[in-house]
Amino acid sequence: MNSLVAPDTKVNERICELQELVRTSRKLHIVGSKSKDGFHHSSDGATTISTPSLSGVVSYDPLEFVVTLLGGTRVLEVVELLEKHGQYLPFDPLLVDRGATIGGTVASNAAGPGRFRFGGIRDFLLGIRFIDGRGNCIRGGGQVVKNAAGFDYPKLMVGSRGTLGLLYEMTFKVFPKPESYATIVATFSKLDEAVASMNKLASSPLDIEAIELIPIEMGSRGYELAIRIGGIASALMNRLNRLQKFVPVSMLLQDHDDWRYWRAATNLEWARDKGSLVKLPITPNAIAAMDKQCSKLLIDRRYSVGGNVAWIATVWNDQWSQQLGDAQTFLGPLPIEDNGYPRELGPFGRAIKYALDPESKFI
Amino acid sequence: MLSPFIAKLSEIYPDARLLTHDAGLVSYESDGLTAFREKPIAVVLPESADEVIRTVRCCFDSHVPFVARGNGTSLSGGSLPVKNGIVISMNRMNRILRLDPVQRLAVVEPGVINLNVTKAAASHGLLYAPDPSSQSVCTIGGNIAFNSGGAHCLKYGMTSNHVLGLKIVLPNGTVDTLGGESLESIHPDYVGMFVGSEGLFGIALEITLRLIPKPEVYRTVMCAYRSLKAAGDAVSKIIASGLLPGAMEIMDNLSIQAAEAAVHPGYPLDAAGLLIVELEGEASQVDEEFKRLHGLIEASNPYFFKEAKDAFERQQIWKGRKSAFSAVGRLSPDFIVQDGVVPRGRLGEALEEIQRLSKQHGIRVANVFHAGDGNLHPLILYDGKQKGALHHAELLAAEIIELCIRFGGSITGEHGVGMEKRTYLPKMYQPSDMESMFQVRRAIDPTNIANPGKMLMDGDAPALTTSGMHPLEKAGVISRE
Amino acid sequence: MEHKIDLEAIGSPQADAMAHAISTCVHCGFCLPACPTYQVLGEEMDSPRGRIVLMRGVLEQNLPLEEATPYLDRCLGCLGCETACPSGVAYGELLSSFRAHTQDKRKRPIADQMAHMMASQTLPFPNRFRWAALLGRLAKPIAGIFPTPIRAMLGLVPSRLPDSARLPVFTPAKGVRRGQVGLLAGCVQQVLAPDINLATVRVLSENGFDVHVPVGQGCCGALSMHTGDAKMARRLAAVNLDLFPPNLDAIITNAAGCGSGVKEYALLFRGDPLEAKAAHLANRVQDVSQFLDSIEMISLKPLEKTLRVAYHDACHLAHAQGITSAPRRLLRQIPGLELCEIPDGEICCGSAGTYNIEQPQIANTLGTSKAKHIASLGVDVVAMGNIGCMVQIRNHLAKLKPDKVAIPVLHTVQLLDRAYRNE
Ligand SMILES: Cc1cc2nc3c(=O)[nH]c(=O)nc-3n(C[C@H](O)[C@H](O)[C@H](O)COP(=O)(O)OP(=O)(O)OC[C@H]3O[C@@H](n4cnc5c(N)ncnc54)[C@H](O)[C@@H]3O)c2cc1C
Ligand code: SF4
Ligand code: SF4
Repeated sequence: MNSLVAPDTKVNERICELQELVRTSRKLHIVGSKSKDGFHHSSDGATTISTPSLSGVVSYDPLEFVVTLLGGTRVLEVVELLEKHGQYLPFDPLLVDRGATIGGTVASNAAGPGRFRFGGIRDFLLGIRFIDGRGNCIRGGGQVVKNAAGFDYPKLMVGSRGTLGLLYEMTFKVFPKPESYATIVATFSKLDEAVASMNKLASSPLDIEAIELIPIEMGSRGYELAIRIGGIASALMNRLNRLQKFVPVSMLLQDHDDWRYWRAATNLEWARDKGSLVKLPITPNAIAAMDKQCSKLLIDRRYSVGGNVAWIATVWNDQWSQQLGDAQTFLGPLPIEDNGYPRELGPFGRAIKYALDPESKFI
Repeated sequence: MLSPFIAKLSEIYPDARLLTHDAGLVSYESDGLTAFREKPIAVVLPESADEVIRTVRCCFDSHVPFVARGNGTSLSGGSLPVKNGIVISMNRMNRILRLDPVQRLAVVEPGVINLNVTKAAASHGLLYAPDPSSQSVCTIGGNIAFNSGGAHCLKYGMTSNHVLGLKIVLPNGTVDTLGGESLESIHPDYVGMFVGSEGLFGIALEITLRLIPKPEVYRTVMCAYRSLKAAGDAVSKIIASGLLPGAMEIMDNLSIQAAEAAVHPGYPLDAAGLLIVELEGEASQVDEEFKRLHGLIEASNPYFFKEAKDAFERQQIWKGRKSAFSAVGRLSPDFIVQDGVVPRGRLGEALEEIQRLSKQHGIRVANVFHAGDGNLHPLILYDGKQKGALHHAELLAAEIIELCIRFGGSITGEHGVGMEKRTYLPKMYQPSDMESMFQVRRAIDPTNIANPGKMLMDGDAPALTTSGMHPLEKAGVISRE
Repeated sequence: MEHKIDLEAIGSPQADAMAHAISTCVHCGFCLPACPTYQVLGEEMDSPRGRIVLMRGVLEQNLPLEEATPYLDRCLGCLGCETACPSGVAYGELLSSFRAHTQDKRKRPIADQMAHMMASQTLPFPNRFRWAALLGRLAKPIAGIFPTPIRAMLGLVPSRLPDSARLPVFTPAKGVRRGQVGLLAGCVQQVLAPDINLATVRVLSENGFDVHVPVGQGCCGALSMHTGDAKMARRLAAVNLDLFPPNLDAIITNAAGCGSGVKEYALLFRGDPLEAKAAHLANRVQDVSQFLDSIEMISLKPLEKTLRVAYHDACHLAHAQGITSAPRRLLRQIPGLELCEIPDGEICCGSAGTYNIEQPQIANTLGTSKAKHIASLGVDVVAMGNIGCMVQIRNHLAKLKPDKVAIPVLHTVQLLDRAYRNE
């Protein structure tokens, strides 16, 4: 076992302090590195808990393909560590170079383009420890890749945005990293052609790591599909040739170019300085209508994960917040009241919130 | 005379779908774990979500416990009736409501059989990935309740990883929708929380499943070893090499014998351990992977190696593997199917330990397991007609489970806690973890009527003693693992 | 599965077989999707697993027989469950033994009893059946006044009976003589489709075999056996035990129901003085497709144009005797014949012995669904190896499109015969 930072006395003391803090506070707001500004607005009157003080790798066994991390650990650190052993988190955590922490990544469900192939954060998170609204330390899940014992708290915490508890330790399953990658970019003049190609590729037996649909200059100059494949180097050329029969290739990216392209995508660089960045879960069929609307309003956007996520970058206004009721802001100012989050919970969500945080401390 | 409760049910159901006579009730006494039997007071056979909702409301109003049942193949007593309760048999709600090949999803009723979804998807070149060995019988509803896995979960995960949305009725009769049709969501992953909750959170009424493209090629090999440990070691090597096979399974001699007798897949009958590895994906990638796999296997020194030469041979290999549990019925009148997980690196060690325990107790144990996940399925053979045999077998089963906990694994990989392992859950989790589960359970089902007594021991939750860390823990002297 | 059956109290020679089958069942449910009645009715009592539990209950004396009877009566005896069962539960043996064991104790509704009586008293006797069939034809127009089960029986009677044709007692081999076989002539089939026997004799003789059809043959007893009338079954079967000369290569049957019945003789006669003899006969009997597949068939003439044929697996051939590939291999030997698989092919057509007479509604559902599956293929002919299925499928194909000429239904051996004769 490759234990880098043992859960030593210091960490335990810190956890105890946090438990105490939860018990004695009325309202709590949890922040990591604040790489996702959009979440941090109406913490007025609430005690802010910052997790970066709880950081480090608790254990990592490369042969077991399992890594356990403290919540405040920077994702970048983790990515680099795994890479040394030829391993990775296939869901492409977002904002790696902007300081994202692992706890924040889980809590905000911040998965990127690579989520397309093997699944999202929910599919790789095996176990968690968190402090609930009563100040108790709770463990859910386990340390092994398969486990059906007890309720699946790890999944519940994905996307919980700090409203159900303070995540302080997470165990992930990791995968062997493909030894080589390549990306082709295909250009289309019409959106429907691009969407049709995307759907065709996504249902084809080609093993594709990621497919992103990107309007060029807000759609005024057409649309491009970025398609990434990865695997054994000696098979890659063959597969690229095959891929080229599916789509009109305008650009081929390999090695460092490929890496740079996707790193920029996971850092959401395209959306920088564009106001708020809003994430919308969609399905491919929703793209046509949404894109029409966006291009009328001159709003920049991208469709990620094979058409399952729409990213919308714009200066927020009320009209938008009504139309995009089911959205989550990542970057930029978005008053929480307008978005309505925590939005109206259903009976199931209400019961769970009540059970884990009966006094509604976590906001 | 009809009891007032049954009379209420008869307002929902015609006579033919409300069973209260003996023959009807005894038929539903057990699931796949026949060591437990309990006669329900009634069995209802709903044909629509609306009937299920009305039934649950009826139970809520009258404080009558209910158990949903798919096709009753649970191996942990999950669909065992509850005393003085009713069984809601979902198997007639078996329609595929919508299959959208373009967006790659299917909306189904919970009673649909797993394999029927796979078949429907196949006609569009798509795949519903989770393939429990019982896939030809078990229902998606049951799979949801247990987060069922299968041989092919190594790469694409268990049931939970393939469920996008759910419509559910909570134990108090309210209806909720969790998730949706997109791969992503922006709320806490309620779908993930519901899946695997063993019927304690209510009943799934409608399920949206994710479909994936069918792999272009499969390459399936069988290799036989003179010892079980050698097979286990080969698995560790393959995993460590960075290959990501679709499936990796091991069977020991007893299960090989049984499966061969049932299906004739051509397993080598003298093998101590048989390893099945399957690569899947795009042809040129798989070919390269195969070269590496072949090298690794050669180095592991099997005395027999065979690749399936066509789809039929592949199918036979899997049919043999998937019939193994039931086929063991040929070797022994009774057996306990155990299900535990150990870290993959400790597989060989765990197997040796199980063999030792088997010798020590003088009880035969057959082993079939999802080696790639470290998910063991020791089958403990006994003859129920011999006095004390069941008890003795249970003792051995218990030791195996404790071994899994000791090794840092889990008490169940896919069959769930159910009745069978509810006393072990507190050994795997701390009192505060358990208390939290009770709190969630109570918030969702305050009157304790949804499959009560399963997973969480009935009665009041144990008093919460640890509302913080133990002083020794604080000092870093002990840690709870 | 554990049971508390008191074998001695049961006291029947088949008690062991029953107890063994029950304890072999592990309650896994793998048989559920293979069971036609579970497919149609969707309740546990009408599944193999459920029926085993019910039989266990009755044998343990925990469940009154009348409670279990309706569900056991609905079992087709198609043995789809046996094929599906990985644990090797001998369901067929359990069911016939159980039916035999409880035959005297059971009470049935009057109409069912009448239908059962009519079926069991007439079907096994060719002459009686011919008369009954003729009477049935007269009764058809007034069918509405009979209770459902009897109405169903009338529905099966063909509106025109073929002329009764006599089978030659001996037919010599054509060409080079390769051996000699006997033919089990069957009862129902002789009346409804005498051509099947004639075709069988021709094909065997064409392939170089002398064919003996001993006179004095009666019903093989299979129908009675499957309905639980073991006494009657033994009485009927005993007649045939001594009829066939000892030096035959095989005794051929072309009715799957008879074949599977005869193969169960050993169990039927367990503890009876005739047991050894019965077992001996059982060992000599082969289905015609099995036999032809085991010899090198004389090559067949090519068809003039492609013929698309669907092959239907009769339960008593596929599930009871495990014969599925032999008939397909034979048909493929006809040059120009294209074989198609019927969707959900392993599910029974609803004929199953006297079933379409005793459980008309379920039989109807299954028949209709089978006909629909066949029609979906757009084939020229449906072939199969059992007269019961032929009658059932022919009826349902006709009902499906009453205004059109229905897809012809032929016995496998009839197709071979026509190919030899270039028809
Ligand atoms: C031979 C054999 C092999 C098996 N192999 C595997 C395997 O490889 N992997 C594996 O994971 N499992 C396996 N199992 C276990 C079993 O098949 C699975 O647990 C399966 O998911 C159960 O499905 P079912 O339809 O039979 O459910 P049931 O047994 O009827 O019910 C199981 C649970 O689901 C609940 N439930 C049913 N329907 C609903 C619904 N609509 N909403 C909410 N809850 C519901 C029930 O209350 C119960 O708690 C095997 C079982 C057998 C007998
Ligand atoms: S498949 Fe066999 S063992 Fe399983 S329930 Fe059916 S009869 Fe019993
Ligand atoms: S014999 Fe046929 S009808 Fe009877 S239980 Fe078996 S599969 Fe069902």
